[in-house]
Amino acid sequence: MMQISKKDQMLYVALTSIFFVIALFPLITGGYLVYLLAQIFAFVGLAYSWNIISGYSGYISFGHHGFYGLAAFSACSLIAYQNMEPFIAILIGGLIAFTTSIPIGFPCLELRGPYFSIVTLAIAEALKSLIFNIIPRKQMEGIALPPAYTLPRVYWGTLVMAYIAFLTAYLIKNSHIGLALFAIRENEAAAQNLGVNTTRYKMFAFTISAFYTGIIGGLLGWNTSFLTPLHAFSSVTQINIMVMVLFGGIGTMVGPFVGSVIFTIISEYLWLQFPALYLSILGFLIVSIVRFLPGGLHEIRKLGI
Amino acid sequence: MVPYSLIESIIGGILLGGILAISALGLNMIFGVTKIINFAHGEALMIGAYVTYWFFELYSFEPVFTSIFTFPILAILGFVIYELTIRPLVGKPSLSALLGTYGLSIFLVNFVRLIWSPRWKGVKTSLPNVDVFGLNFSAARLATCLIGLLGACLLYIFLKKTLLGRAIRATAQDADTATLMGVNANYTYAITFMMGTALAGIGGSLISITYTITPEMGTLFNLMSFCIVILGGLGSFTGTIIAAFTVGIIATVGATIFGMTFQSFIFFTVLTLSLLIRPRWSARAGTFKAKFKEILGLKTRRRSE
Repeated sequence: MMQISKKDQMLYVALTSIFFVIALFPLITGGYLVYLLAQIFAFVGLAYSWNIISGYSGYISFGHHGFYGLAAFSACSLIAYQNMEPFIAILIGGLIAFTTSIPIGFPCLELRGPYFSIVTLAIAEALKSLIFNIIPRKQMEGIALPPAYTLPRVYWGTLVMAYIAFLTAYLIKNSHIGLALFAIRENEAAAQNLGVNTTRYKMFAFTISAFYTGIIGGLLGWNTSFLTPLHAFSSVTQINIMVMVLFGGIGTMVGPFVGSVIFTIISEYLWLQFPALYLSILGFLIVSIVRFLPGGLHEIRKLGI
Repeated sequence: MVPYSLIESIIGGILLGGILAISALGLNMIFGVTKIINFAHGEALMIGAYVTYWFFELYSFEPVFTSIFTFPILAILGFVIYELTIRPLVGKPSLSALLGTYGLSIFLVNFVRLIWSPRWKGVKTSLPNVDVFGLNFSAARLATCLIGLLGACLLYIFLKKTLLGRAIRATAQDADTATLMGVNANYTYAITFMMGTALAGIGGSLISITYTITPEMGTLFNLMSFCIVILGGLGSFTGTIIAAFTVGIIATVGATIFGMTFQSFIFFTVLTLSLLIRPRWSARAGTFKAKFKEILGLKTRRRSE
């Protein structure tokens, strides 16, 4: 039985009460605020789940949009063509992402840092182009989901996922798994020589990250109500997640939350004001963050501002 | 029908290989000297293709020979990019450089999309088609392949025979020792980056004859160049050229057999496999061999580290 410290108890109580307060929102208000909050929660969840593999173990994945797209696409296909209960379909989508990540993870996690990034990007793109080639033409044009007022359900789904992803990230960070992952990030050979089963920990982080990404992908895909494969597999998702985590501070606990909240609001504004410039600004932001603030907002205290 | 078109596609692959070689050599140079994985390399290629397009559109310049203009223009661009973004990243952990150049690539793609519109563009060569032993191929493609190989030869002479080339090779081997011997490492990095970008520009200028020019063309050629560099070996000149021809042949033959839409899938699969098979990039050298032996039930000997 795990000992829960006083601080942790407080945290859980606070988080759970905040969770229930926030969960009541769609009953009071509606429309754009609920939509925006759902987006924020989805990206908080995505940022935390990406941070588990990329921030903790230092294996920066460029290919999470593959899992996201695969899960979103399969979940939406199940909802539209099999009339499946949406949440079950989304869970199945997440499980598909999870099972896909196992054969991908085993060979790829043997590669060192940058090569891992390249290979994940290559695999995601290969998956994308394979799916584009094998699916029927009709689905390529897009899957129309049955019309339903889904926003509150998506809201609750993303809220739960953000909560679960945060808790998982927190629990991993404060356990021997987190310790092993940090050891892998700092010096993998040393960690291995000290008896850490590096493959197992890396696989755990990678698969759980893919699973959460898949579920959130399914939720967001369901929310769009008309999903084209091109949209589902768009690498913009990956870029967004990366900018958020980098902005907040990679590998930290507050970083992904702060980054994704600030960034989702900024990006909604940018979409509204400069739709054509949007991605250029994102690219510019990544370069500037890496150039001027390599530790993200988390490190701003050290700069003495 | 099959063997006939197969021969033609192999010849097409060889002709493509000559073009890929020059772009991959640029990437290999940047990679070998500055130790930066340049994700924006394909974007330099794309800008080279656009430069060719503008020379064709404005002055009706023969696109095969535009390389003389793309080289200096892209070298200047490379210098600007180096001064603004790459210089602070040299010597940093390779992942921050990877993220920085990834951001740069997103920025360049979308900037080009903004100023030159995402519409497909193309150039038309005035060189005729030729028949050799009943096989029909265009003289322009032959010329581009030869120009690519000529560029590679000139690069080889530059690296082996000139003082600057020797400085570049020395910095690639050991930057600290080279600095002690009186080589200005920062200057060498700048020159290398400029040359690498300019070589990618030549590649783009040559490739624009056979491929459509879009802002997104860079991604595919970027990963192709990675594939070639990884297959050919880091810092290996002849290895890169042999790998370029291999990848070119795989690409065209694969496209002939499976269809053009599968081409990117084939590339990404080749890239993934080449990354996974080359044990040099593995976190633990010899892991795959050991794993295969484990699967086969053979004894494994642990390497002392």
